[in-house]
Amino acid sequence: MKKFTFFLFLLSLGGVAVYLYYPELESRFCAKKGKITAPAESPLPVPIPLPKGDAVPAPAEKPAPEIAASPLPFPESPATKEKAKEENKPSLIIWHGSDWLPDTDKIVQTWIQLSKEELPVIIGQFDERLGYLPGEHPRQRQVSYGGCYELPIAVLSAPDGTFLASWRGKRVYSVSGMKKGVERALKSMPDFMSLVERARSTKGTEAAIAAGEALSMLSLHDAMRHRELRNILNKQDPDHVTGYRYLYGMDHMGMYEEINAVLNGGKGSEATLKGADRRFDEAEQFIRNILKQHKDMHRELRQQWLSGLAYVYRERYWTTKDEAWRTKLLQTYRRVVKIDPETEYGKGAEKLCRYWDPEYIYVIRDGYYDNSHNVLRMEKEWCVDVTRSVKSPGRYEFSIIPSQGGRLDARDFRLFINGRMAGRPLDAEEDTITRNVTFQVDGPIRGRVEVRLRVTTHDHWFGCSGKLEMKALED
Amino acid sequence: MITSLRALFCGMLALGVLTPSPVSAQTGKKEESFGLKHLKSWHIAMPSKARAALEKGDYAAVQKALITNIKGRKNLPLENQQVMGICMVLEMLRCTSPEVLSAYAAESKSKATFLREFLADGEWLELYLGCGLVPYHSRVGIDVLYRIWKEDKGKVKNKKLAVALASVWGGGEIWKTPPVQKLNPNRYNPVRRYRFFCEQEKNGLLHKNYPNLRPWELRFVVGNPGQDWDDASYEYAARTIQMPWDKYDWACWSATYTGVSKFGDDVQGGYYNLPFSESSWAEATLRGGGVCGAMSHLGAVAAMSHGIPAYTCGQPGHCAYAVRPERGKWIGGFGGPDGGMHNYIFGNKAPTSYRLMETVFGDDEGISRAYLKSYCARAWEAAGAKEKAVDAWREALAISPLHPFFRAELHRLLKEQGMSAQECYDYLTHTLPLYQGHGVAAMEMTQDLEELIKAFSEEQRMEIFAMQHQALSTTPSSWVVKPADLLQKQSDMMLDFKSREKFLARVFGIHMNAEDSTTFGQLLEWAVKTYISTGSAGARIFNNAFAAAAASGDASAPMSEERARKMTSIYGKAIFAAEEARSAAAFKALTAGAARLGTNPPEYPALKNADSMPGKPLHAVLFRQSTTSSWDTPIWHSSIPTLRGGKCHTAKEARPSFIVELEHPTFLTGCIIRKTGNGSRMPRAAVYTSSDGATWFKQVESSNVPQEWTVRFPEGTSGKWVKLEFDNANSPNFAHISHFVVYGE
Repeated sequence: MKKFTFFLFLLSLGGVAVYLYYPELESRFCAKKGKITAPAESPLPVPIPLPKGDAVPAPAEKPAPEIAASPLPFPESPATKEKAKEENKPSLIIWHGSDWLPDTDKIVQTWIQLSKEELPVIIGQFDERLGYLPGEHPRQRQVSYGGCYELPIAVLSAPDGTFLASWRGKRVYSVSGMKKGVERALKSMPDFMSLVERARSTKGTEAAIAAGEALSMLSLHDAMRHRELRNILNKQDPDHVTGYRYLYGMDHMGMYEEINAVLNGGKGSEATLKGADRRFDEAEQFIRNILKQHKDMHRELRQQWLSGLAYVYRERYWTTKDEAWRTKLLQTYRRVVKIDPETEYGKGAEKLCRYWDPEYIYVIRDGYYDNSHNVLRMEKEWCVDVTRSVKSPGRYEFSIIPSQGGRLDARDFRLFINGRMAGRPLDAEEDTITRNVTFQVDGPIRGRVEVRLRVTTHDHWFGCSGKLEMKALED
Repeated sequence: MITSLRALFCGMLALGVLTPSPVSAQTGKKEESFGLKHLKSWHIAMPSKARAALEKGDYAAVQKALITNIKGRKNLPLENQQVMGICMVLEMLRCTSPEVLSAYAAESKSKATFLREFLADGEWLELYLGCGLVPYHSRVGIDVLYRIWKEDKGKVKNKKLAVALASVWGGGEIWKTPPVQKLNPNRYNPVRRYRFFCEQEKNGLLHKNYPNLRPWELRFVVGNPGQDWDDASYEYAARTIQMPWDKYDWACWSATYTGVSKFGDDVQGGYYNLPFSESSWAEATLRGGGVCGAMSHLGAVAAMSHGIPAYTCGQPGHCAYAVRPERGKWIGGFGGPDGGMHNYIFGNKAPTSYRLMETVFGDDEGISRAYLKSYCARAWEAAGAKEKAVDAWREALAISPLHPFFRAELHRLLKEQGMSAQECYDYLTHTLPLYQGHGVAAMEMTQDLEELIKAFSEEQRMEIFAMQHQALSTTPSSWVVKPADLLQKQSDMMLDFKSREKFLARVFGIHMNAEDSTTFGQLLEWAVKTYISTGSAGARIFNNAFAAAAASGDASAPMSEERARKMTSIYGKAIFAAEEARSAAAFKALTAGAARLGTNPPEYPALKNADSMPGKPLHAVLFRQSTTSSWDTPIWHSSIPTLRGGKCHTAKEARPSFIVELEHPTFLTGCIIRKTGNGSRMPRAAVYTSSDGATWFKQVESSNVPQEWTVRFPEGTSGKWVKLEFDNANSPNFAHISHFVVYGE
């Protein structure tokens, strides 16, 4: 009894301590018992974690608080450009987001450090939070720094405001990288600006050549965003005399427009040629001439035009079904990959190589097929790993269950165990087009079990997604 | 003694005999029930019979025992937690069904334990049932919760997020099988998405309003996976697309707008995405570009991955999206927020769905009490006490009068009880005034009672229709809302031409003076189609009704100066409304009607380059402008796209614009624009063309627009719409032109 009393005493002692520390527990407990006891006063609000860098939390209903100053000490973009003009120096402007970009601190450190380097430029900033005029939208602003929206971005301009170069990604966070890049751009600035001046002051082919040569001095990314020079080029060389328009006057959409114009009988041609009547040889020659004329074109541009060539081969293959064109198509995509596998052209062409390679087999391991296994208008082999579904000998039903509409033809189902063919369906011939077949699996089952089949899809991407199921049938 | 008992209780708590409420790992804040504030993390105590059945996993028996318990009660007070707990469990059983729950519990011991814990957790159950849509007769919702419960080892850290995921994955009574259920669970995995948001929150990468979002709001953050892309897209967008917090309505432009891929494939074809198909949708779009569909989804997923509610929506020939940085404030991206929402609670008809949703759920405390009342109503009905159920529904609606599901349930029961036409009339005259500002909801609400409305007298019908239109006229509307069906139905219920004319005059009168003239425009479009296009008798009805609405007698009678001015103003308003509604038919009919007023635009000198322009002036079916002002003369707008010239005047704007809509898409050679008055007001402008009226391509821009501006388009330019947009970004100003003549082949 004494022990029990002592236990109760201890319990009460602990309780008093907890009660004193957490008085709100009482009301919660009382509520549990059905007795509603309101807390004496509202508990103090717990601070809500804010998005990183957000220094100005405010409830929605309150008026917007005053915006804090930008964390960088540089003047805003218009003042920087003004000063650059006055002092006849190039300007280097960092476009950043002071209150929303997660790594703002890094930017601040890098750029304060960079401003201490001896660079003959006026450094300025465009703070995304503060830099907009009332009613102005980011889309409108993009034009002023080259038309892309991947902040942070550093933009170098000549004293008169002519766009010279830009840096994005990791470079913007590196003092030495930025310094090196700016120095290199400044070194070539006199030559570049003299070409720009020539492009501005002359007309016709001369102006177009000057603009084209100036654009060739820039990175492709910057060249394609240099509105002034591209405008000069397009205006002064309407008949493609210099060939530079094919490089800098158009993007990939413009290129395909040109290729299609040649394929379909030439620009201005009244009749649009179709099918086998299209001028494949001319289109091929047209692209080859451009590639030959500009042997030193940017690598990515070369990839672009080679992709254009592959497009002509593909159209020809569809029309003639002659395997020779598929071979050429594959070779061309492989060239694209070889030039640079890391660009979008390189990566895309690599996937297309797999698609167009008749020997390549799509392996599906997770039981679901989707657009990455698409076999549009072309029969290919699928290898579906069903090991997890086949535990013991018996009869199994293999099914293709589409998740959306769209036509998918499958035939020639085969069962493979450990890479060796182990049987055909009990209920379908090789050429029977079906989505359900039954296999007899004889034991013992050890190792990998696969169902192989040949598939063609007939719709766009919606037509190629669904489930592949292997289910044991009850006897 | 009391103090000692308190101390004893607390001691028990300290020793873990009683379990305190869970605490959010991220915020350190107690997970807050959005029900009655004092009902934080509470245990539902079930009657012994129900408890025994629950132990056995026999949910039909649980339901039976709980109904018996309700039958033995005289009332169901909200303050009594035990009773509320029983009502909530009953509602859960009704939604999910005892069969589904029994089968689920039978699958494993762990699942049975989870279900018992879930049904005993008042806070969690309340969050689940109050999420907007509750998965109906489906195991999906509880399975999502179970998987998250397992992930969090039996102590779910973020119950609000968990129920939002369960809700979008599982659908609801009006959306029984969301498409996600057919998709690859490895790409659309609620647990992965749950982890993603917990991680984002932990790292402080979500919008500052995220921690305050309720489950119904979180539905628009976690996204509707059948539409809003895969888990990897969320992760990729969070890493890749960083925008200023208030500019996610522009996030779509992170990708390149391109209809042809880098490999020459059209965006509508199957090969477009093939080169990037092994990436997430977001990555494929950022790498390969896209058009409105992919870009809008990208914008939405970028916002959602940063904790900002968003949805994508379909428009005719276009796709758009909307983001919501603050409660109630939906901002359109790429032409949104209007359109058919791909993620919704109250149907997919924007703006009804999002505006109604914001109003219904806007008051946290109120909606939670209304939901508790609704569970009482369901419980009474299950117990056979339909009168009490009706009362409870009325009480729920007294708190949340616009909740469409509650309203539908009340209507069902009232009809079952044999509501008479007179009772229905009384009910509607009492209820419809509550729908001010929610006219579309009022339209939808009365649909349930259509048969009874048919039995009203003509005067009663007219009165109810007028009330509906009164609600509509106070509703901020949109071109997406088409009240034509309602108008047609109402008109069909009028017995003869005279009544129809009276009806039309009444409706015209209501909408004519509305602040938002879009619905007026829609009304005009319908009226023109229904009456003017059908012949002279119809045209007479239209004209008489229109004139009567203008309170000026017969429109064809000779007019005083005062009346002519008034009519000009009314026609002007009507024409501008037709422009806003993009109704070419109403624009044409009203312009023709206004011509009878006998006023003509000023005589202008001929355009200098009219003859030298290639092609010929094209016939425009509609001219519209971004805003109007007291200096505007909409009755002369139709002359602006002609060589004759007209007159128009916008309000002070940063970017005033004018749009000419042609009859057909065609090849365009250029246009001639003539400014009027102080041309120096409008030095900067650009001309755009479009094939869908939504996606615009800049053809030319100038920072020094001359008084008469002759624009030549690049060869091969085609389109159906041509837009002139002035750019006064530095200082908003007016825009006024007399000519905007489009040339083409």
